[in-house]
Amino acid sequence: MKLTPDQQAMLDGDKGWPLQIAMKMLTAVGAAADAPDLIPVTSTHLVIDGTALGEAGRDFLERLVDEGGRFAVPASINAIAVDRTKTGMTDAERDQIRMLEACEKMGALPSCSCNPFIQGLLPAFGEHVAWSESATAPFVNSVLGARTNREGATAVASALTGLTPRCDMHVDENRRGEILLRVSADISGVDRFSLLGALAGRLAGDRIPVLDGIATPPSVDEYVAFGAAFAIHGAVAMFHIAGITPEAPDVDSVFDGPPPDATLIDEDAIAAEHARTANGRAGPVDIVSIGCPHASIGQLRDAAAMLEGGEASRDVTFYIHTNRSTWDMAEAEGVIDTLTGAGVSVTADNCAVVSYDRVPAGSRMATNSAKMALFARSVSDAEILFGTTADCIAAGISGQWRKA
Amino acid sequence: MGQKYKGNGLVGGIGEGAALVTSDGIAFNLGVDEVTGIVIETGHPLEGECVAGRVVVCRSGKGSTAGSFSLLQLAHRGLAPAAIVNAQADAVITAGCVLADIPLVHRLDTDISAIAPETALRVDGTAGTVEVTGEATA
Repeated sequence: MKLTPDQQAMLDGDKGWPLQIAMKMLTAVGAAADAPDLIPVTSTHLVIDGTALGEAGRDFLERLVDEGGRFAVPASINAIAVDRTKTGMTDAERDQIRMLEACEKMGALPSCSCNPFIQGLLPAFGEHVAWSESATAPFVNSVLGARTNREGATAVASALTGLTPRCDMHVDENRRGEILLRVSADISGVDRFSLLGALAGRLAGDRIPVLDGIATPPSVDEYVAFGAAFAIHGAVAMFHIAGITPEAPDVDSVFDGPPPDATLIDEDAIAAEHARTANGRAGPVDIVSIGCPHASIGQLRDAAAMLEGGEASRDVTFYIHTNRSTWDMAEAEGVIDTLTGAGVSVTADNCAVVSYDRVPAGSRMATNSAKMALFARSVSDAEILFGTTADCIAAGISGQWRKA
Repeated sequence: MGQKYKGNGLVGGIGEGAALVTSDGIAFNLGVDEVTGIVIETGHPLEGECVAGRVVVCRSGKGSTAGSFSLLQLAHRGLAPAAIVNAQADAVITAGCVLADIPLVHRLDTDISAIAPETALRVDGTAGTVEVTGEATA
């Protein structure tokens, strides 16, 4: 890979260990992907989930600070594994806070959310960025038209250097449609967009899908729900919706050459995806989880309105997950009081799965998120009851899942 | 014995060990237990095998991007692979090998299935070579 003298000096260690280890990561990843050079990024988003980083990750981040590492571009932080305001933390939870503090010392914004878009963190069209958390990449690329790969530890390297390899989603030719999905099912609401995302992700695999037939532009909440499920069920960082997303004015122009034969997504396909996601039957509910990705202020208001006068069942742990800034807005409006008064646990920073507290094995969980469903099943062998936000709230109040 | 394959070295250094081979990808986050080094992904061809001290030969990385830090966790516990050989390396394994100081080579001049399981290998991540140094030991 072609490096400038300044970049070569970083790689050689002339500018300290933090920039050296960062450049080693970026040049190795770039070489693996045949990147010709490195390009500047304007922002980064970092996953520092303590359940994934462990003590080794803690030591790594603290060593970066100790050896003078500072972030060269804005860095926001993904959901962490503990609520920052919790009292009586375990050793592991204190380690998570140390990781967050290390990032703050290097200049990071402690946003602590898998849904930075509702916090106003929005790269503009054409910006090159390095964002980790698989759920963020489809929104950044597809909805905003900014450019990011699915980053991991490399996002830390990009934060330190302000650089990323010129490859994959940063190259225009790699952003074209590769398969066509024709949607005849009527899709609205975060639960239905989440199912559509899961199905589109699985059908796409490692090819960029173009969805045709969606008549109304999705809301931000619907895009976020779609993108999270899409990312976790597939391997690509981008989708197009013909006539709606910015790089897909119509089906013909988003493909190189004539569009391929379409795969149909009809009501039956969505019903099959629902059946694949939900493995539980009607009956008692142990946990309700709303807010994967983190709930927006609109979702919190809707939940409060639906709960008005009702109360969560004592037999149910009823979570709505959000981030600190949205929580603060909801508190100012009185929405948090309404929700907590009704027995809902409104969590900030973390969620039921990104947490040191594991969902008890075999729990029956009601959710409106295909991503939450997949993780709760794989981590805790949970039985999943899947439906609309209103279905989940009704289950939280009655303690029963009434749908078949 | 003595067969030497040439590929592209991505992370330098020398690692020696018995080959652990699969044509599948490996998810180091959630697919490998970071406390024991054992492959735990249900139905994976290497399920139950331990990666510690082995030359892991696999198609690529897969799954969560947190896998780079999983390799670092394995290294902290002394359970890292001696080296990794990929058909095509991805960013997760590549960045993880940098963090954990694990030699990494990809794109050999042979299909990775040509490497017999348990063969003793010497991987030179700087030169980009994989040398067979002994017969299969198991």
